[in-house]
Amino acid sequence: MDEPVAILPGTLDLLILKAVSLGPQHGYGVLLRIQQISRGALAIEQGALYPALYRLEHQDLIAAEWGVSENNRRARFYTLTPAGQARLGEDLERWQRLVEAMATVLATRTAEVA
Amino acid sequence: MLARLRSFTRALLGRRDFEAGLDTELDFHLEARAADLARSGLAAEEARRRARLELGARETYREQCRQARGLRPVDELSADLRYAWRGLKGSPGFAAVAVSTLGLAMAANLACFTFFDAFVFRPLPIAAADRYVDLSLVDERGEFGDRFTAEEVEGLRSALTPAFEGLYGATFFQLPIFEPERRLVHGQAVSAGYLSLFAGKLAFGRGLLASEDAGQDTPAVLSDVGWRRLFHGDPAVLGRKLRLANTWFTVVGVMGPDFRGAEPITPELWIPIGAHRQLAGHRESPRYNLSGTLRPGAGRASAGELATAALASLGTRAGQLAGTAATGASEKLHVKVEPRRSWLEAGGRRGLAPLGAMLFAAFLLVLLIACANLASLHLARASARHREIATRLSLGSSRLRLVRQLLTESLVLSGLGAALGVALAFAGTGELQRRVFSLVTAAGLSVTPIALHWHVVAYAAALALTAGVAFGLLPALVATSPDLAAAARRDAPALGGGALGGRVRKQRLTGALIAAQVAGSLVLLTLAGLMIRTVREASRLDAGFDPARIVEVGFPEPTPAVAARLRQEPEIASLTSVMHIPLAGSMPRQAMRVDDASHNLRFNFVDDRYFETMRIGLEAGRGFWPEEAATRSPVVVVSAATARLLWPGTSALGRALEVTAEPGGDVIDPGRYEVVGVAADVVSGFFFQGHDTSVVYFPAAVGSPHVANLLVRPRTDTATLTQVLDGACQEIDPAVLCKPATLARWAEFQRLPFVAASTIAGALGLLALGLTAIGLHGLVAFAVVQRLRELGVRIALGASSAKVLSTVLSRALGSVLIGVAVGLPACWLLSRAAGRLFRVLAGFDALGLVGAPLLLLVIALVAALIPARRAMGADPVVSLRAD
Repeated sequence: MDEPVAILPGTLDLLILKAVSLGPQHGYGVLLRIQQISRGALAIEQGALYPALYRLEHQDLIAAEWGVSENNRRARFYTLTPAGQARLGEDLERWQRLVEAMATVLATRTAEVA
Repeated sequence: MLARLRSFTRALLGRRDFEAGLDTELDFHLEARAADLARSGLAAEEARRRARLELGARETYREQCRQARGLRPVDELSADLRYAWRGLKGSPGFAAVAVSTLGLAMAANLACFTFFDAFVFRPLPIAAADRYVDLSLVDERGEFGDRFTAEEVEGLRSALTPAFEGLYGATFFQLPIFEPERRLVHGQAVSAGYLSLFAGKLAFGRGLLASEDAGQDTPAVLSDVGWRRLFHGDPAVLGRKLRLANTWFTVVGVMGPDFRGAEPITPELWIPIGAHRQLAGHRESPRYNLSGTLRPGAGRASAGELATAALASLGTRAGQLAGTAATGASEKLHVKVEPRRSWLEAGGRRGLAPLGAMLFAAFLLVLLIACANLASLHLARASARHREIATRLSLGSSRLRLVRQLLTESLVLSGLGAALGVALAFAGTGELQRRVFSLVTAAGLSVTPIALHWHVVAYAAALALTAGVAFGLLPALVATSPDLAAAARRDAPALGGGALGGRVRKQRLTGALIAAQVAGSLVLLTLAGLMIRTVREASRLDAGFDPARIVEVGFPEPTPAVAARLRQEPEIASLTSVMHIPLAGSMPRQAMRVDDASHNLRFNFVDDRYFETMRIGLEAGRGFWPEEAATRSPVVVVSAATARLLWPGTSALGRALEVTAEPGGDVIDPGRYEVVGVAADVVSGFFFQGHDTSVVYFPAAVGSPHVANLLVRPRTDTATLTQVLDGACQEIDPAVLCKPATLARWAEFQRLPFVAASTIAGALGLLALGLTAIGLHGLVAFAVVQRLRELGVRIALGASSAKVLSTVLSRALGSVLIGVAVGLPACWLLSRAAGRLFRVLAGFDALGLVGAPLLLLVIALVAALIPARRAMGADPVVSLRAD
């Protein structure tokens, strides 16, 4: 397995929104889900997750509710709000455009410019 | 946005839940992570350690979570508040001085504001207060002409319904009441519906109805005060009878104690206008104020024109309205409609505004002194903390953050001061109102209590905020200025040097603040001195007769028969009739000609017994003969000052002065008058104006126009005489109640406003003086503590105690001297103005211009000397070790 790469600045929010959109999850679960889906390719500072979650909740993009975890502990479960759903759509689209543009630029060879 | 606000307030209000939840969540994370790590084969202890490591700096993330909710500024504020509170607790002396300084100044300002709020700012307690107006008859220059007769009130009430929702006549009166007790009563005659305009409900019964205005069984409504005074609060008062002058009234209602009318005084009872005009004891047809509520959209100017037209069609003032009255064009009257915004903000009383503004300014000056005082104390404190501030600055704290923290401290102080001020003002306002209105209450009127209002608290909050910033900002900015901080860092290990730029700047600022305080205090002290001098000089002045031995009979409209009947009383040594009662305000003036020169002279009508009754000596010539008084002969007696004015150096006897016909001047018959006597100078106007500069006495007897006052001199004493007069008046006319009183009462009435003014000015002056002394003391004390090291070195190097003392004192006293120099010209102008206004004050104001600065200097010296003495005791060893 390759060494995990640090995520780009500003993309944590998008990752969280995506992870939460797959189903209600507590903070640790969000972390696991991202690592699991990326097969461990993305490294996230664990503690940094929580300020991001609180920020998203403050912006009404996700909602939190106290529930019971699989091992019977009290945990906060996050779900996507309608506003969060909309934001996720917008951000995904923007991300897609960015990736395409970046890929095009980075794939350019000398001959093509001339 | 809304969601954020909700999330912020939830986090703020449920702060404990928020923190607990955050902890639970992070703990859960650690546990779950440790469990996963343990499953992958790590030992439990190691798994927990790894989990903690992977999570990272827990406190930082917690802080970031708080920040995500917008809680950071709140945390900073509460930290600032806690810090400020701890700092103040650490120096309780400073806190106590600051809070009480500010509290006293605030209390004075709040009390002043309470009065202004109640009398000037607060609208009348009426539903449509913005449309409530006063109507009055004015001449073409807009000066007050007349009020309205009862017929006019009724006529206008029905004629003006297109422009007014309601129109009401009202007037205050003082009349004898005989049942249920015998005395004078203060009442108000009003139109139907007037009472229900105002705040306050009927406690019993009903109000006055339109149909009863001139009925047979005349109704009366009692006020709460009247009900308690006249019927001792008897709940079965409805239907009881009372007799006012010659008329019986039936009590039909009682107003509750919460009644607030259009005036700051509450009468004891209300009666209909229709009944009032028929009561005995009126000298002429009674006049009424007219006020009412304009219809929405109706203009004041058009309402005034409508009213003028309506009045013209009533035909009562044909001459005056057309301007064709014999008195001339300046007498042409019209109806003016003016807004009535509050108790005092009525059409004819605008003149109070500048007086009020001056009063307000004097009170604010005290607050300013308190602020300057606190600013210099703060500055001193901040410089004592310069090392702390420098340390925090070098640790990366932003200047804004530090300024904010220092400001929080001063705002905490000003908040506490405001709280103290509000408490003092609330406690003292009732007593203050009783004192200020002692004149009114002495006359038997009851003053509507001033209800405290949220306005006052809002004003206090605004003052506290302004004051807090005013005395906190400058010191905070200076204390955190970068060059000062940098210098302080260098200064720390060095000895006494460094911090020069900052220190010099700070000293200049402190000096300026002290100087400003001194100048302000000086002005207030001078003002107080002027008022006190007025009272003293005025009461020291010999009136030229003994006011306590002359009794004013107070019989309404006396006839020659009344005078003749009273003269039969053996207790009456002498009786005279006059137009103007001496000391009851200024005498009127009239232009008189002497050899082509016109003089505006004061005059009075007196009968042949005047000089004898008053015991005013005649310096030349004679008094009037009885037949001269009876026929209003063309002779006069002039006062000695008048004789000197008109005929300097020669005898006035046999000279003549001429009274010409003049618009409005129909009091004295036109013609040539020969001087037959010269009377000694007396005070017959206001004491503060000194002896009369001119009086021309014209002969007249009781019964002739304008001569309606009887003065008597008792054979034994005034108390006996009062009883005799009381009985005699009753015998002459059972519907009349005389109100005998000595002229000393007028002297007292004259004195009271000055006593009140000098009390207020004196209190403010003393407060200012005290504040300045406290400020100076604190400042010198701080300077000494700060420079203890330097002083210790100086003493070690052989400086004498006197030298050290003078070093410490010179700077403080220099500022004081600058303050005196700045304040003195203002004081000089003040005393010049007062000298022109109150003639008894003419001349050099030694008390104000020499006494006040001297007093200030002495107090400043003492205030500075006490802490400065500590400097002399500076032990070089101790003070050097202090570092």
